[in-house]
Amino acid sequence: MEFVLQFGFELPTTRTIHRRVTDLVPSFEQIVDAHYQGLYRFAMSMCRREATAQDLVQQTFLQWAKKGHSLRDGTKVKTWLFTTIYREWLAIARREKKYEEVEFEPEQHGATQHQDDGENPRVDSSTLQTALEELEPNYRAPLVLFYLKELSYRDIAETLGVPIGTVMSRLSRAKDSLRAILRRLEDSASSNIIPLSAS
Amino acid sequence: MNREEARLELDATTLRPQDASPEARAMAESDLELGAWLKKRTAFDEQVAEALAASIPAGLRESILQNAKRPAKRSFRWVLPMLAAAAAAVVVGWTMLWPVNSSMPGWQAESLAAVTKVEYGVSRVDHLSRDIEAIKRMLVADQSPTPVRLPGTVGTMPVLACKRIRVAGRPASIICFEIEPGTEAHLVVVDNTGLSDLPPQLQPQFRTSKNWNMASWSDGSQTFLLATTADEAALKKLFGLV
Repeated sequence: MEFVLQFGFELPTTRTIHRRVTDLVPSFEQIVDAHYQGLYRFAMSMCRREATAQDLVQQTFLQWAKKGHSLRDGTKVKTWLFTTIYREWLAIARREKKYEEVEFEPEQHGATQHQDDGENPRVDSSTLQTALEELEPNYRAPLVLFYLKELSYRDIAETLGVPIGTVMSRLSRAKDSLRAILRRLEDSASSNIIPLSAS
Repeated sequence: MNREEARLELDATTLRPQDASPEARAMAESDLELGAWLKKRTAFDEQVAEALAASIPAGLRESILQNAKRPAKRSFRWVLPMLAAAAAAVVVGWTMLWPVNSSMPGWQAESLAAVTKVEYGVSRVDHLSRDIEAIKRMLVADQSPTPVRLPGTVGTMPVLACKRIRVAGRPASIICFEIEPGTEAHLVVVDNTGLSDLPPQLQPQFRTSKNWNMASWSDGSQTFLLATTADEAALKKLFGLV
């Protein structure tokens, strides 16, 4: 038996609402799989302690588990996660008073703007971490996010809560500075090599 | 876009060239020096990006997933303050509604207190009945006083229930009527032998306290208090005064 409701007026034609796949927020596990490594690398570069970096990542995903449902736009998940982990790190750094907004001092970092002459310095993982540690956090943060290749410079600006122009100039200066530091480390390493004398 | 603006944008997009504007890309192609700089810069950035790929601690993924499944610890820190706040709200609310005050004669204060508790459901009635005669029989059975005579149209209100109480250490009764649809009037009947501060005989005295309107009178050895949250006019109408 079929029941038909009679309304006495004509109902509008049903219209399907098309949703883009990108509008849908993926599952928790999918989000973890997609972002935990990038988040860990970012946290590690910022706090330089493995245990703290792991805690930061855990904390970020716990925040997501609690509040992520309020995010309607699936394309914003990554930015949300990086913004959250950055804020979590900022909170820790401020408690430990390791972070303050500082203006870049090229002399302090051995950087000379646009001086890109010469060969690129050699880079390995350990030297890079040493060099990154010499950068001020507000230059290190955009630089690491940039090298992780996860976010566009616009997303980096959103994540760090700074204007796009500021991110661009900080990236440029930080890269110059990083090159200079790496060159210095390279020179210092080569000067420490003791040649083997032929017997 | 000038050369410096293009340089900044190209520098910010070496690893994600798709993010660079067509204008900046066009400048890199047309300006040989800028193009060479970009090429060298990109090579350096790719090297750094590769070196940054630090190893990930084993078990981090599993640990994240496990922690998310674990039920969140409930914080009980706020429970006590919440309970205290709720209790305070009840006390404040009750104080605001409590109509009894020290200027009332003792018998009236006790009667009104008992009526208020019945009205707000703090105290339950003993019997429910729509028949006044049945109510009277129940009160007699409970050895509680029943009204010998009621003035005006007090006795013609639809009856709802009754309750046995004690006022000034003696048995007393509450009879609940419906004074208006959905609004009750409660009649307290008490034997006045030996009581002081009684209302005059057969002459109702009206009084208001908080949202309560009351009429009290004496009739022989019985004293009555009729209390309601209905307006004063509705109460006086029962005595033919409106």
